Amino acid sequence: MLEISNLTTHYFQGGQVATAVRGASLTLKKGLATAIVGESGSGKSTVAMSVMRMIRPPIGDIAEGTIRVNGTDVTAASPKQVREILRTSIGFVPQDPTTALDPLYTIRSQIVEAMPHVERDKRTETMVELLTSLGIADARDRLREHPHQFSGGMRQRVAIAIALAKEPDLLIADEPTTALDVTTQIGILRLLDRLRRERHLTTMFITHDIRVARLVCQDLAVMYGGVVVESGPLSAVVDAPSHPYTRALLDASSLDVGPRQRLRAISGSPPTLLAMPPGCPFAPRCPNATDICHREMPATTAKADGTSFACWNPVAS
Amino acid sequence: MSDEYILEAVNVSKSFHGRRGATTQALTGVDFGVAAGEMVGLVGESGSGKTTLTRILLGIEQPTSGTVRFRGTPRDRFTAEHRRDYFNSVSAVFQNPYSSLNPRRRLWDIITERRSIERRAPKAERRARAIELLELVSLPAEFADRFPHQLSGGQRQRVAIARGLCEEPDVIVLDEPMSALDVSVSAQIANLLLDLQEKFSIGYIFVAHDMHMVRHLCHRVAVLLKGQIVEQGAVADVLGDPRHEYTRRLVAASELRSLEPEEERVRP
Amino acid sequence: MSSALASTPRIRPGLRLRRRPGRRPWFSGTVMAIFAFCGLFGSVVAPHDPDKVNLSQSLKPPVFAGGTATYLLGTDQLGRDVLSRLLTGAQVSFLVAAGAVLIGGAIGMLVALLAGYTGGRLDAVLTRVADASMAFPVVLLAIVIVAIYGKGVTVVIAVLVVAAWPQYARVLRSEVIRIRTQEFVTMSRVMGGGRFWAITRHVVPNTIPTLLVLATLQIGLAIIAEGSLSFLGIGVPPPAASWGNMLADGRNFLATAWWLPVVPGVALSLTVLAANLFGDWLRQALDPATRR
Repeated sequence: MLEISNLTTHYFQGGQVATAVRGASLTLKKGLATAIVGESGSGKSTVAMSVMRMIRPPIGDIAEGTIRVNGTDVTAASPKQVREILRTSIGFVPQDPTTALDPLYTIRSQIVEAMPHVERDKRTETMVELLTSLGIADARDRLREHPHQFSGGMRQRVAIAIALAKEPDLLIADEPTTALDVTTQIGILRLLDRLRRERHLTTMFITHDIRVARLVCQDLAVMYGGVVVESGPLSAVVDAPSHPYTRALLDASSLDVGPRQRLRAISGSPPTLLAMPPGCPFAPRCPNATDICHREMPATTAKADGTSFACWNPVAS
Repeated sequence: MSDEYILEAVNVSKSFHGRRGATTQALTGVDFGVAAGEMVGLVGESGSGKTTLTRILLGIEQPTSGTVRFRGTPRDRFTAEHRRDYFNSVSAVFQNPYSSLNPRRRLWDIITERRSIERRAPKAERRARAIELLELVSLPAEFADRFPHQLSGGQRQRVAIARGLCEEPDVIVLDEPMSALDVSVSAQIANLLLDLQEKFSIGYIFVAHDMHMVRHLCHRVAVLLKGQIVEQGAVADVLGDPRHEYTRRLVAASELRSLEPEEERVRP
Repeated sequence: MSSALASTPRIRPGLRLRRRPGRRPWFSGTVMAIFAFCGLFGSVVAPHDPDKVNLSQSLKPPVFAGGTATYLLGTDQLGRDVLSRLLTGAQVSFLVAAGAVLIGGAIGMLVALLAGYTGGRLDAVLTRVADASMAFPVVLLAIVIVAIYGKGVTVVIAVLVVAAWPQYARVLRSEVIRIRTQEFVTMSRVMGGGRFWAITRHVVPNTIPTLLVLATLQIGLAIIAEGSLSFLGIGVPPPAASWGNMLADGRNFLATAWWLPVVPGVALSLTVLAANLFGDWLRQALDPATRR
C-alpha cells in the first residue's frame, strides 16, 4: 500500500542543511497498522510529512528516494497529482485537535470540505453516520456546533471524522493521543483500531511511546537520528530486539524494576540534526559501539522472523 | 498526622469568577500535604484542579477559603522571616523546559535567580554555586555560560531542577516534569529525582498523568476529580485496590495490555 | 496545498544559503550612521548658511548635472545651498524621529506593562484610551495644537507621540500578556520575586525584539510624518530647513529644477529604508538564539 524506499529528507535551517531522515525504507501493508516509534528528532514525523509532500523548499526537500502510495511515486508526481492523492487517498489525524480545527467554522463545514465526492443531498446523512460511528452522540445537532463546544477527546474524534470523510486508503496519525487525558486516550486508540479492522484502513501510527504502539499496531519501525534502525512485525521486534537502541528503548519504558528502583535509562542525549555523526546515529550512546559504528552506517540485515535491523554489533538473542 | 507535613493545604477551596458573574469551583475542601523525604503523586484529568492546587501551595494563587501551612504556620501569619524561609525551602520544576527558562539569560544566572532576587550574593559566588548545581544534575560546568536554546529538552529540564535545588529546598513541586520529554530522557530524569531525594531527603509533590511513573516513584498518591480529592493514600492501596470509580478507570487505562474492541466506551 | 512553492525545482542543498549568520549591516549601518551624524552636527558641517538668500545664484543644478563644486547639490529658487539645507534639515528629522520614538515608545511600553501585567479594569480602561487616541485624526490634532501653541519642532514631536504611543501600547500589551504567562515568569514568583522583579528581569527584556521592530518602523513613519506636516504647512515653520519643507517648496520646480524635490525625497527614502533594515538586523543580533 505504502512503500518508502531509501528516503532522505533535508530541512534548510538558517543556511545549514539538517538531515532529518537518512535513507529510510519502510513498507506499510494493506489493512495493518504500522507504528513509527522514535524520540523527538528521530525523523518519525518527517517521514509522514514527506509522504504527504508537505516538505518543500524553502523549508526543506526530499533529496533522495521514492515514496509509492498505491503505486504512484509521490516524489516524482506533479503538484496536481499530489493534491489528488491527498484529496482521495490519505487521511491525516493531527497531534493536537485544539489547533487542528478552525474555531471560526462549524464542524459540518469543516467535514464537508473533505467530502466533495459525495452528492450534495447525501452529505448530511453521510456525516451523521460517520460521526455516530466515531462515538459522537446526537451527531445531527452537533454538526452545527463550533469546535470550542467539544471536549478534547470529542475534538479528536471530529478530526478523525475529517480524515475519514474522504474514505482514504491510508490514515496517518501523528501522536493522536498525546494531548489527551489517560482515560480519553484509550477510547481514541480503540476507535482507531476498530476503524482499521472495519475499513481495512492502512494506518501509520507515529508515537514516542512504545507502550501505546503495542496496543494498536501490528508492525513496528523504530527510528533514531533519521534512520530506521529496526523494523518488522511488532511482536517479533519487541520479543527479540536486535538493535541496541530498540533494546534500550524497551528497557527505559519498562518500569518493572520494582518501586523506586533506578530505571535503565539511556545515557546521553539524542543527536542534533545539524551535527549528525557519519556512522550509526546511536553509536555515541550505544553500549555495543565499536570503531566502525562511528565511521560507517551499517547495512540492513533481514532476520528469519521477518524483522530487519541496521547494526554492526546487534544484541545477542 | 498533619504535624509531619512541611507544606500542606488545609481544607482549601478555590473559586474563580468568570466574566458574566459565573463562578467556577476549581477546588472544594482539599486536604493535601507532603512530608520530608516523601514523594506524593497528584493525579487527575485536565481541569481537575491539579494546577490550581499546586499554584496555591506555591503561593501564586490565594485560596478562597482554607489555609496553606508551611512548617505548621498558616501563610496569613507569616513574618518576614517565615517568608524568606518559605521561598528558600519551597521550590518547583515545571512541565515545559522550553518555556520555564528565560531565553535571554545565561544558565548560571537562571539557576541562581533566587539569590539575585534576595540581592545577597555577588556574581562570582552565584556562578560558583551554579557550577556546583550543574554538577549535581550531571551537566558539565561549561554549561554555566550558555543560553537555554543551546540545550536539548532533557538538559533544560536538568537546568530547571538545578534551579529548584539552589537553596537546598525541603519541598519541590514537580508539575509534570517528564511529560514534555522523550522516554529515554524521562527515565534519566526519574533516576535523578530519586537520587536527589535520597541525598537531601526532599519532599516531592509529583503532578503527573503517567500512572506508571506515579506507581514507580511515589509513596503516596491523591486522586483529584472535579476539584475534590476522591481518594488519597499509599500507592499500593490506592492503585492496587481503587475504591473510587474514577480511580478504577484510571488504573484500568494504564494497565491495558490489549484493546478489546467490544468494551469501547463513549463518554459525552 | 502549496502549489506556488511546488513549482520550485529541486535544488541541491547548500545553494540557497541566504541570510548567513553574522552578516554585517553595511548598507543600513552606514546610512544610519550618516543620518545620526548629520542629525547631530548637520549645521556644523554645512558648507553654506542654509538660510542665506542669494538670488543671483538661484536654481543652480547639482554638480553631477552640470553644476559647480561650490554648490554640490545645487541651489533652490532663492539661491540657498541645497546640501546645507539637507544637512540642517536632517537635524529636524533626527530630532523628530528620536523624540517621537523615544517618548512614544516609553509611554507605549509603560501603558503596555500596566495594562498587560495588571489586567482587569485598569487594562480595560487603558485599552479604551489607546483605541480612542488611535481613532483621533493626526492632521486635525496637529491643526488644533498649532492653533493653540503655534508651529515648532516640539509641536510636531508632541503630535507624533500622541499618534504613535497607542500603536506601541497595543502590540506590546499582547506581548506582555504572552510573556507573563510563560513558566519562567511564574517560576520567578515561586522564588519570591515580586511584580517589579518579574517585569524588569523577565518581561521587559523579552519584549525588546518587538519594541525594536516597532521603533524602527516608527522612525520611518516619524520622518515621513514630519515631512507631510511641514509639507501641509503645519509642521516646522519656514524658512527653517526641514526635509518636508524642502519637498513642499520644491514640488513647484519639478519640471525646471528636478533636484529640489528629488534630493530631499531620496534622502528621506534612503533613511527610512535603512532604519527598517537596521532594526531587522538589530533584532536578530540581540537574540541569543541567532547570535553566535
